[in-house]
Amino acid sequence: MSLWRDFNKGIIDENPLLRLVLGLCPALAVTNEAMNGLAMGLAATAVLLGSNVVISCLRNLIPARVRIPVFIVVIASFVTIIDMTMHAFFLELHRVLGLFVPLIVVNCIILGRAEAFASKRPIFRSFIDGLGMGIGFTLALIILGAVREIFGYGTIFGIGLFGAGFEPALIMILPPGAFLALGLLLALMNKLTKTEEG
Amino acid sequence: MKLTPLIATLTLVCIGAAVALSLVNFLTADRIAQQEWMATMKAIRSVLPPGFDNDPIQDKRKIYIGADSKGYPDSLEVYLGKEGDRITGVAFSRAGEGYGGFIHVMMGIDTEGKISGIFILTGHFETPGLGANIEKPSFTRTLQGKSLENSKLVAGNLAVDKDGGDIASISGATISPRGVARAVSVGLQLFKRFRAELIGEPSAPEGETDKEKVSL
Repeated sequence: MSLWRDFNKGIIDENPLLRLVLGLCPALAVTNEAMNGLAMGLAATAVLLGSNVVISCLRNLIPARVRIPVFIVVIASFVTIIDMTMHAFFLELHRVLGLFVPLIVVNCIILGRAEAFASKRPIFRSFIDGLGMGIGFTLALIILGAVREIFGYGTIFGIGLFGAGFEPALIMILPPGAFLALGLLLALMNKLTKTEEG
Repeated sequence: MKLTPLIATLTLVCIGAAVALSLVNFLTADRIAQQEWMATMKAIRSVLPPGFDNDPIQDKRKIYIGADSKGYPDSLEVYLGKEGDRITGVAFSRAGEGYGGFIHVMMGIDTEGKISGIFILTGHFETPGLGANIEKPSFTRTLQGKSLENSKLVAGNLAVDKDGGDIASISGATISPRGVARAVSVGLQLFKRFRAELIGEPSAPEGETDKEKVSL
């Protein structure tokens, strides 16, 4: 597998959200607006890059029996670092994402990539894998957020799309709307990628 | 036994994590405190009745409002808005219990005891997209102009519409607006009780020693 493959598999074929269906908690909870999806995706990507690189560095030093606790410590540290950095430099964003930044710790995507990829591969490939997966997750969150924002508020990234006559579908920004939109996106993704599997 | 390498690995990894975290904390703590304080200052200015020409951060008073639930003296830090020498309003923060802990609300009250504005301070844990929408102007604006006299009170307090009051709740979230209503209600009652101390002439000059935070 080439580096390019390491990178692009995370975006379509193994998209963490739309293919592997991992990381549902942030995906469903914060995507009522496209901007929140983008911010959450970037925060998760930053954690993923850091944890993949560090875990790949340590991969030959960690005894197999304690690998999961080590992964969790590494991931939790990066999450806390990202949380403090956002608090210091992006106060508004930190306000919006609030509780969901610390919850990146329990995001399965990050532990999943650590276990499935970074703990067995060299550093640079793990970095590329984290980048691809992070971008795939971010794109999926933006799409989900955009769909919900367009129907639920009639805006995209806060910019009004329709005139004053638009009646927003409130359900799309409430939790049921997250499930509806994600279900439809998954169906669309399956439809688009069906041909190879027959 | 092969336990030693396991313990050694975990210990080393945790030490590494602790060092990294304390370093980042050292680098960001001051900036976080500064950002939070600047946000608070902005909040104070935004909730006071418009038209003040003083610096409300300098013109603050501390009054004692009795004892808290543990019996310690409870005080209230009040920021004054003035036009010339006349006090036009006060701003202070109170908390009400929301869905994920306390919600701290900075509120401005004019001399007639009406809310001139509210601002939800950071550090609450309301659900993003639902309860956290109490931060949005579409909600905070609905409390403007409310007072204990012109509102529908439930058991002496302001209340959200679902509890029989007249504060509009947010679709999908009742508990967070309820917390805000509670905080504002407590604030208005405090204002009523300590009105003289709050907007009357200060009996003795004070507040001069509290300037250390202002020099940012």
